[in-house]
Amino acid sequence: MNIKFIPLFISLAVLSGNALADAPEARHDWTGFYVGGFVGGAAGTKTNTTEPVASDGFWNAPYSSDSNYHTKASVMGGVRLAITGS
Amino acid sequence: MIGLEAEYGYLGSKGSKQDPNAAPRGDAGDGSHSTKIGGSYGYGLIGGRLGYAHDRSLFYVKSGAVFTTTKTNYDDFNNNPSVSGTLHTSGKSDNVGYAIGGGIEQALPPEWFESAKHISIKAEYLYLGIGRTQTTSGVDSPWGHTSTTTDHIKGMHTAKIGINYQFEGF
Repeated sequence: MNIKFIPLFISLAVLSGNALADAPEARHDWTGFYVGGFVGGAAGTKTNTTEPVASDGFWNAPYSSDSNYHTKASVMGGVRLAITGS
Repeated sequence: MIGLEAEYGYLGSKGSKQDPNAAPRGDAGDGSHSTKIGGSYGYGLIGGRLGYAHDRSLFYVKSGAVFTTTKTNYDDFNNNPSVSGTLHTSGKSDNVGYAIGGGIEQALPPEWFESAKHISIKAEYLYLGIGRTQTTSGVDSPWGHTSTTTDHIKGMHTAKIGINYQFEGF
């Protein structure tokens, strides 16, 4: 090898190394079609039930009253389809 | 990032209460009310999401319509001594509400394994606005058509984690 080319090779190597170091990493591409599954939970909700009403008035008159109560928390699970663009 | 999505799943929130007019306040025993949201019918959701992607992390907000089914039962014994009898009514309603929330989705590092770049995991919170839905049940009785109504007073908070597989090129 001709010794006068050595600095040139070193320079190219350094330049290529810098170029690789400076190259941005490939960004994740979020676009596409997705299929998935999930699990989780849902908190309960509050409900109110009215006293049954007959055509002649309250069913339980004179004791009639509405009642409030909570439904319990529930597990959830299912499948998901999605399409994403940018 | 924008997207459309649909999900279908199980949701079974149940509650019940003894009739407030039960004995000994009245004179003819007791009864009970019960409500079940979802159950074997599950729930469905169609919505959109808007997000900001920072490389493999995606932060998003999501909104859409949620579809549930509610069943109610009302068993009662009349406490009025002058009108003794029993009553059983049941009703089912299909409810439509709104969903709003958000979450974070994280794509797996591609160096983990060959198809890791297509897999993401997510955590999501959604509020299901079904608080204004209503289920009515009724039955023909000796006292005419007797009916009762159950209202959902509040919506439901939900939290879930999931895993997704991405098909590129769509």
